[in-house]
Amino acid sequence: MYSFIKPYEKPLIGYVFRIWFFFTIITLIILLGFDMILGYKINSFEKSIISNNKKQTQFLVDIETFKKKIKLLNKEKSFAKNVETSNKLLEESLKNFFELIPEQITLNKIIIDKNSLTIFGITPSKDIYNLLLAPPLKSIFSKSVVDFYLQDNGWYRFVSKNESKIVKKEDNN
Amino acid sequence: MQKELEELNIVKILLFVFLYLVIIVLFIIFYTVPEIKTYKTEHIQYKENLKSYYSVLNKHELLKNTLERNRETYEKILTAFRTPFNQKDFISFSKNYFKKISIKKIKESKKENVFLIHKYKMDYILKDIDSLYSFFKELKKYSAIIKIDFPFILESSSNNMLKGSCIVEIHESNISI
Repeated sequence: MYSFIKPYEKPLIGYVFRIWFFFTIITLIILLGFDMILGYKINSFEKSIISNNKKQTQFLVDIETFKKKIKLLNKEKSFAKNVETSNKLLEESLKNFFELIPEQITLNKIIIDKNSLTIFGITPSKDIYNLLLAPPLKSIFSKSVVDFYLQDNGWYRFVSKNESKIVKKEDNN
Repeated sequence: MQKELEELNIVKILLFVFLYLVIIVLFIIFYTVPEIKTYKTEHIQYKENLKSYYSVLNKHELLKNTLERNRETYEKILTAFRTPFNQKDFISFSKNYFKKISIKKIKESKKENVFLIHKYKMDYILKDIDSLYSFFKELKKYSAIIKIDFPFILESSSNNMLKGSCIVEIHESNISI
Protein backbone atom coordinates (compact mmCIF):
# COMPACT_ATOMS: atom_id res chain seq x y z
CA MET A 1 0.00 0.00 0.00
CA TYR A 2 1.21 3.45 -0.90
CA SER A 3 1.69 6.00 1.98
CA PHE A 4 2.17 9.75 1.67
CA ILE A 5 4.23 9.83 4.80
CA LYS A 6 7.26 7.94 5.77
CA PRO A 7 6.66 5.35 8.44
CA TYR A 8 8.09 6.23 11.86
CA GLU A 9 8.19 4.58 15.26
CA LYS A 10 5.17 5.45 17.42
CA PRO A 11 6.00 5.34 21.18
CA LEU A 12 3.58 3.45 23.43
CA ILE A 13 3.24 6.46 25.70
CA GLY A 14 2.92 9.64 23.77
CA TYR A 15 5.00 12.76 24.31
CA VAL A 16 1.99 14.85 25.35
CA PHE A 17 0.96 12.23 27.85
CA ARG A 18 4.46 12.25 29.32
CA ILE A 19 4.31 16.03 29.78
CA TRP A 20 0.81 15.76 31.24
CA PHE A 21 1.92 12.97 33.54
CA PHE A 22 4.98 14.95 34.66
CA PHE A 23 2.94 18.06 35.53
CA THR A 24 0.22 16.05 37.22
CA ILE A 25 2.72 14.22 39.42
CA ILE A 26 4.61 17.43 40.23
CA THR A 27 1.35 19.16 41.20
CA LEU A 28 0.25 16.18 43.29
CA ILE A 29 3.65 16.10 45.01
CA ILE A 30 3.35 19.81 45.81
CA LEU A 31 -0.17 19.31 47.17
CA LEU A 32 0.92 16.26 49.17
CA GLY A 33 3.84 18.26 50.55
CA PHE A 34 1.45 21.03 51.56
CA ASP A 35 -0.85 18.47 53.18
CA MET A 36 2.08 16.91 54.98
CA ILE A 37 3.07 20.32 56.38
CA LEU A 38 -0.54 20.82 57.52
CA GLY A 39 -0.55 17.33 59.03
CA TYR A 40 2.68 18.08 60.86
CA LYS A 41 1.26 21.35 62.19
CA ILE A 42 -1.99 19.62 63.25
CA ASN A 43 0.03 16.96 65.04
CA SER A 44 2.16 19.60 66.72
CA PHE A 45 -0.99 21.52 67.83
CA GLU A 46 -2.44 18.33 69.32
CA LYS A 47 0.80 17.55 71.13
CA SER A 48 1.01 21.13 72.45
CA ILE A 49 -2.63 21.00 73.62
CA ILE A 50 -2.03 17.71 75.48
CA SER A 51 1.20 19.02 77.02
CA ASN A 52 -0.41 22.37 77.98
CA ASN A 53 -3.39 20.60 79.53
CA LYS A 54 -1.04 18.44 81.58
CA LYS A 55 0.92 21.50 82.76
CA GLN A 56 -2.32 23.43 83.35
CA THR A 57 -3.65 20.66 85.61
CA GLN A 58 -0.44 20.78 87.64
CA PHE A 59 -0.62 24.60 87.75
CA LEU A 60 -4.20 24.43 89.06
CA VAL A 61 -3.10 22.04 91.80
CA ASP A 62 -0.19 24.42 92.62
CA ILE A 63 -2.55 27.42 92.62
CA GLU A 64 -4.77 25.75 95.23
CA THR A 65 -1.68 24.95 97.34
CA PHE A 66 -0.40 28.54 96.99
CA LYS A 67 -3.82 29.91 97.97
CA LYS A 68 -3.93 27.69 101.07
CA LYS A 69 -0.38 28.67 102.00
CA ILE A 70 -1.06 32.39 101.52
CA LYS A 71 -4.21 32.05 103.63
CA LEU A 72 -2.28 30.25 106.37
CA LEU A 73 0.53 32.79 106.18
CA ASN A 74 -1.96 35.64 106.54
CA LYS A 75 -3.56 33.85 109.47
CA GLU A 76 -0.18 33.40 111.17
CA LYS A 77 0.76 36.99 110.39
CA SER A 78 -2.43 38.41 111.89
CA PHE A 79 -2.24 36.01 114.84
CA ALA A 80 1.34 37.10 115.60
CA LYS A 81 0.22 40.70 115.28
CA ASN A 82 -2.65 40.06 117.69
CA VAL A 83 -0.33 38.43 120.21
CA GLU A 84 2.02 41.40 119.96
CA THR A 85 -0.90 43.83 120.40
CA SER A 86 -2.28 41.82 123.30
CA ASN A 87 1.08 41.91 125.12
CA LYS A 88 1.45 45.60 124.33
CA LEU A 89 -2.05 46.29 125.69
CA LEU A 90 -1.29 44.44 128.91
CA GLU A 91 1.89 46.49 129.29
CA GLU A 92 -0.02 49.72 128.58
CA SER A 93 -2.82 48.70 130.96
CA LEU A 94 -0.29 48.11 133.73
CA LYS A 95 1.39 51.46 133.09
CA ASN A 96 -1.97 53.27 133.02
CA PHE A 97 -3.13 51.48 136.14
CA PHE A 98 -0.05 52.43 138.16
CA GLU A 99 -0.46 56.03 137.06
CA LEU A 100 -3.95 55.97 138.62
CA ILE A 101 -2.64 55.08 142.06
CA PRO A 102 -2.29 58.16 144.30
CA GLU A 103 0.87 58.53 146.38
CA GLN A 104 -1.04 58.10 149.67
CA ILE A 105 -2.22 54.61 148.76
CA THR A 106 0.13 51.62 148.91
CA LEU A 107 -0.58 48.59 146.78
CA ASN A 108 0.17 45.10 148.04
CA LYS A 109 -1.16 42.97 145.28
CA ILE A 110 -3.05 43.18 142.01
CA ILE A 111 -4.79 40.41 140.10
CA ILE A 112 -5.69 41.21 136.53
CA ASP A 113 -8.06 38.78 134.86
CA LYS A 114 -9.86 38.89 131.53
CA ASN A 115 -12.79 40.93 132.84
CA SER A 116 -11.74 41.92 136.30
CA LEU A 117 -9.16 43.67 138.41
CA THR A 118 -8.66 42.95 142.09
CA ILE A 119 -6.55 45.36 144.12
CA PHE A 120 -5.17 44.71 147.59
CA GLY A 121 -3.72 47.74 149.33
CA ILE A 122 -3.46 50.09 152.27
CA THR A 123 -4.99 53.55 152.49
CA PRO A 124 -4.62 56.13 155.29
CA SER A 125 -8.38 56.70 155.22
CA LYS A 126 -11.51 55.60 153.42
CA ASP A 127 -11.94 59.12 152.06
CA ILE A 128 -8.59 59.12 150.32
CA TYR A 129 -9.57 55.89 148.56
CA ASN A 130 -13.07 57.14 147.78
CA LEU A 131 -11.82 60.49 146.52
CA LEU A 132 -8.67 59.52 144.66
CA LEU A 133 -8.91 55.90 143.53
CA ALA A 134 -12.59 54.98 143.43
CA PRO A 135 -13.68 57.51 140.71
CA PRO A 136 -11.21 56.39 138.01
CA LEU A 137 -11.95 52.74 138.80
CA LYS A 138 -15.69 53.37 138.55
CA SER A 139 -15.20 55.09 135.19
CA ILE A 140 -13.36 52.07 133.82
CA PHE A 141 -15.36 49.20 135.33
CA SER A 142 -19.10 48.73 135.45
CA LYS A 143 -18.98 47.22 138.92
CA SER A 144 -16.55 48.34 141.60
CA VAL A 145 -16.81 47.06 145.16
CA VAL A 146 -14.42 47.75 148.00
CA ASP A 147 -14.07 46.26 151.47
CA PHE A 148 -12.08 48.09 154.14
CA TYR A 149 -10.41 46.47 157.13
CA LEU A 150 -9.28 48.75 159.97
CA GLN A 151 -5.72 48.19 161.08
CA ASP A 152 -4.12 48.79 164.51
CA ASN A 153 -2.42 51.99 163.27
CA GLY A 154 -5.75 53.50 162.16
CA TRP A 155 -5.08 52.93 158.46
CA TYR A 156 -7.24 50.67 156.31
CA ARG A 157 -6.41 47.55 154.40
CA PHE A 158 -8.69 47.38 151.39
CA VAL A 159 -9.73 44.84 148.78
CA SER A 160 -11.20 46.43 145.70
CA LYS A 161 -12.98 44.16 143.22
CA ASN A 162 -13.68 45.64 139.82
CA GLU A 163 -15.52 43.78 137.11
CA SER A 164 -17.03 43.76 133.70
CA LYS A 165 -14.98 45.99 131.48
CA ILE A 166 -12.05 44.31 129.81
CA VAL A 167 -8.70 45.50 131.04
CA LYS A 168 -6.90 43.82 128.23
CA LYS A 169 -8.43 43.32 124.81
CA GLU A 170 -8.74 39.71 123.86
CA ASP A 171 -7.34 38.78 120.52
CA ASN A 172 -9.83 38.02 117.80
CA ASN A 173 -8.78 34.51 117.03
CA MET B 1 9.08 13.72 18.10
CA GLN B 2 8.85 16.20 15.26
CA LYS B 3 6.20 14.03 13.75
CA GLU B 4 4.31 13.72 17.01
CA LEU B 5 4.31 17.45 17.53
CA GLU B 6 3.05 17.85 14.06
CA GLU B 7 0.22 15.56 15.00
CA LEU B 8 -0.75 17.65 18.01
CA ASN B 9 -4.42 17.78 18.31
CA ILE B 10 -6.01 20.66 20.17
CA VAL B 11 -8.87 18.42 21.33
CA LYS B 12 -6.40 15.94 22.76
CA ILE B 13 -4.58 18.72 24.59
CA LEU B 14 -7.81 20.07 25.98
CA LEU B 15 -8.74 16.61 27.13
CA PHE B 16 -5.43 16.28 28.94
CA VAL B 17 -5.82 19.70 30.53
CA PHE B 18 -9.35 18.82 31.58
CA LEU B 19 -8.18 15.51 33.00
CA TYR B 20 -5.37 17.30 34.82
CA LEU B 21 -7.79 19.78 36.32
CA VAL B 22 -10.23 17.04 37.33
CA ILE B 23 -7.51 15.06 39.10
CA ILE B 24 -6.11 18.09 40.87
CA VAL B 25 -9.54 19.45 41.88
CA LEU B 26 -10.63 16.01 43.14
CA PHE B 27 -7.42 15.72 45.10
CA ILE B 28 -7.90 19.18 46.59
CA ILE B 29 -11.58 18.57 47.42
CA PHE B 30 -11.14 15.14 48.98
CA TYR B 31 -7.74 15.49 50.55
CA THR B 32 -6.47 19.05 50.89
CA VAL B 33 -9.70 20.83 51.88
CA PRO B 34 -10.53 18.42 54.78
CA GLU B 35 -6.92 18.76 55.91
CA ILE B 36 -7.21 22.58 55.84
CA LYS B 37 -10.50 22.35 57.78
CA THR B 38 -8.88 20.11 60.39
CA TYR B 39 -5.94 22.53 60.58
CA LYS B 40 -8.27 25.51 61.11
CA THR B 41 -10.23 23.71 63.84
CA GLU B 42 -7.04 22.56 65.54
CA HIS B 43 -5.54 26.02 65.25
CA ILE B 44 -8.60 27.61 66.91
CA GLN B 45 -8.49 24.95 69.64
CA TYR B 46 -4.76 25.51 70.08
CA LYS B 47 -5.21 29.28 70.36
CA GLU B 48 -7.99 28.85 72.93
CA ASN B 49 -5.92 26.32 74.81
CA LEU B 50 -2.95 28.68 74.75
CA LYS B 51 -5.10 31.53 76.04
CA SER B 52 -6.40 29.46 78.94
CA TYR B 53 -2.90 28.05 79.56
CA TYR B 54 -1.33 31.51 79.80
CA SER B 55 -4.17 32.77 81.98
CA VAL B 56 -3.55 29.88 84.44
CA LEU B 57 0.22 30.32 84.12
CA ASN B 58 -0.05 34.04 84.94
CA LYS B 59 -2.22 33.31 87.97
CA HIS B 60 0.25 30.62 89.02
CA GLU B 61 3.20 32.97 88.72
CA LEU B 62 1.37 35.79 90.48
CA LEU B 63 0.44 33.61 93.47
CA LYS B 64 3.90 32.03 93.52
CA ASN B 65 5.54 35.47 93.60
CA THR B 66 3.08 36.71 96.26
CA LEU B 67 3.83 33.68 98.41
CA GLU B 68 7.59 34.06 97.99
CA ARG B 69 7.44 37.78 98.72
CA ASN B 70 5.34 37.16 101.83
CA ARG B 71 7.68 34.35 102.89
CA GLU B 72 10.60 36.77 102.72
CA THR B 73 8.73 39.63 104.39
CA TYR B 74 7.36 37.55 107.25
CA GLU B 75 10.26 35.13 107.56
CA LYS B 76 10.71 35.98 111.25
CA ILE B 77 7.08 35.22 112.10
CA LEU B 78 7.10 31.99 110.07
CA THR B 79 10.30 30.84 111.77
CA ALA B 80 8.94 31.79 115.19
CA PHE B 81 5.84 29.65 114.66
CA ARG B 82 7.96 26.72 113.55
CA THR B 83 10.58 26.91 116.29
CA PRO B 84 9.77 24.35 118.99
CA PHE B 85 9.50 26.00 122.39
CA ASN B 86 12.68 25.57 124.41
CA GLN B 87 12.02 26.04 128.13
CA LYS B 88 15.69 26.52 129.02
CA ASP B 89 16.20 29.08 126.31
CA PHE B 90 13.11 31.03 127.41
CA ILE B 91 14.27 31.03 131.03
CA SER B 92 17.70 32.24 129.99
CA PHE B 93 16.04 35.03 127.93
CA SER B 94 13.75 36.00 130.84
CA LYS B 95 16.61 36.11 133.32
CA ASN B 96 17.74 39.31 131.61
CA TYR B 97 14.68 40.99 133.13
CA PHE B 98 13.71 38.93 136.16
CA LYS B 99 15.66 38.19 139.29
CA LYS B 100 14.19 34.73 139.49
CA ILE B 101 11.94 32.84 137.15
CA SER B 102 10.36 29.42 136.91
CA ILE B 103 7.92 28.01 134.40
CA LYS B 104 5.77 24.95 134.64
CA LYS B 105 3.50 23.34 132.10
CA ILE B 106 -0.10 23.59 133.31
CA LYS B 107 -2.06 22.02 130.50
CA GLU B 108 -1.55 19.39 127.87
CA SER B 109 -0.76 20.98 124.54
CA LYS B 110 -3.85 21.30 122.41
CA LYS B 111 -4.49 22.02 118.79
CA GLU B 112 -6.64 25.05 118.07
CA ASN B 113 -7.28 25.97 114.47
CA VAL B 114 -3.93 25.46 112.81
CA PHE B 115 -1.93 26.22 115.93
CA LEU B 116 -0.57 23.99 118.63
CA ILE B 117 -0.88 25.77 121.96
CA HIS B 118 1.29 25.07 124.99
CA LYS B 119 0.30 26.68 128.31
CA TYR B 120 2.77 27.36 131.08
CA LYS B 121 2.51 29.13 134.41
CA MET B 122 5.35 31.58 134.89
CA ASP B 123 6.36 32.67 138.41
CA TYR B 124 8.88 35.45 138.71
CA ILE B 125 10.57 37.87 141.06
CA LEU B 126 11.73 41.24 139.82
CA LYS B 127 13.50 44.31 141.15
CA ASP B 128 11.20 46.95 139.73
CA ILE B 129 8.27 47.38 137.42
CA ASP B 130 10.49 48.76 134.64
CA SER B 131 12.09 45.32 134.26
CA LEU B 132 8.62 43.96 133.54
CA TYR B 133 8.01 46.65 130.91
CA SER B 134 11.36 45.83 129.31
CA PHE B 135 10.42 42.14 129.29
CA PHE B 136 7.19 42.98 127.46
CA LYS B 137 9.09 45.10 124.96
CA GLU B 138 11.69 42.47 124.19
CA LEU B 139 9.21 39.60 124.08
CA LYS B 140 8.28 40.40 120.48
CA LYS B 141 11.90 39.86 119.48
CA TYR B 142 11.98 36.40 121.04
CA SER B 143 12.21 33.43 118.68
CA ALA B 144 8.74 32.09 119.52
CA ILE B 145 5.20 33.44 119.47
CA ILE B 146 4.46 34.03 123.17
CA LYS B 147 1.33 35.55 124.60
CA ILE B 148 1.12 36.68 128.18
CA ASP B 149 -2.28 35.62 129.42
CA PHE B 150 -4.45 35.99 132.50
CA PRO B 151 -4.61 35.82 135.42
CA PHE B 152 -1.77 38.29 135.74
CA ILE B 153 -0.72 38.67 139.36
CA LEU B 154 1.75 41.16 140.79
CA GLU B 155 2.46 41.68 144.49
CA SER B 156 5.02 43.23 146.74
CA SER B 157 7.54 40.86 148.21
CA SER B 158 10.23 41.03 150.87
CA ASN B 159 13.44 43.04 150.26
CA ASN B 160 11.62 45.61 148.17
CA MET B 161 11.12 43.08 145.40
CA LEU B 162 8.05 42.36 143.33
CA LYS B 163 6.81 38.88 142.70
CA GLY B 164 4.17 37.71 140.35
CA SER B 165 2.80 35.08 138.08
CA CYS B 166 1.05 34.87 134.77
CA ILE B 167 0.06 32.39 132.12
CA VAL B 168 2.32 32.06 129.11
CA GLU B 169 0.83 30.74 125.90
CA ILE B 170 3.16 29.49 123.22
CA HIS B 171 1.76 29.10 119.73
CA GLU B 172 3.33 26.76 117.22
CA SER B 173 2.48 25.70 113.72
CA ASN B 174 3.94 22.71 111.94
CA ILE B 175 2.35 23.20 108.54
CA SER B 176 5.01 24.04 105.97
CA ILE B 177 4.60 27.22 103.98
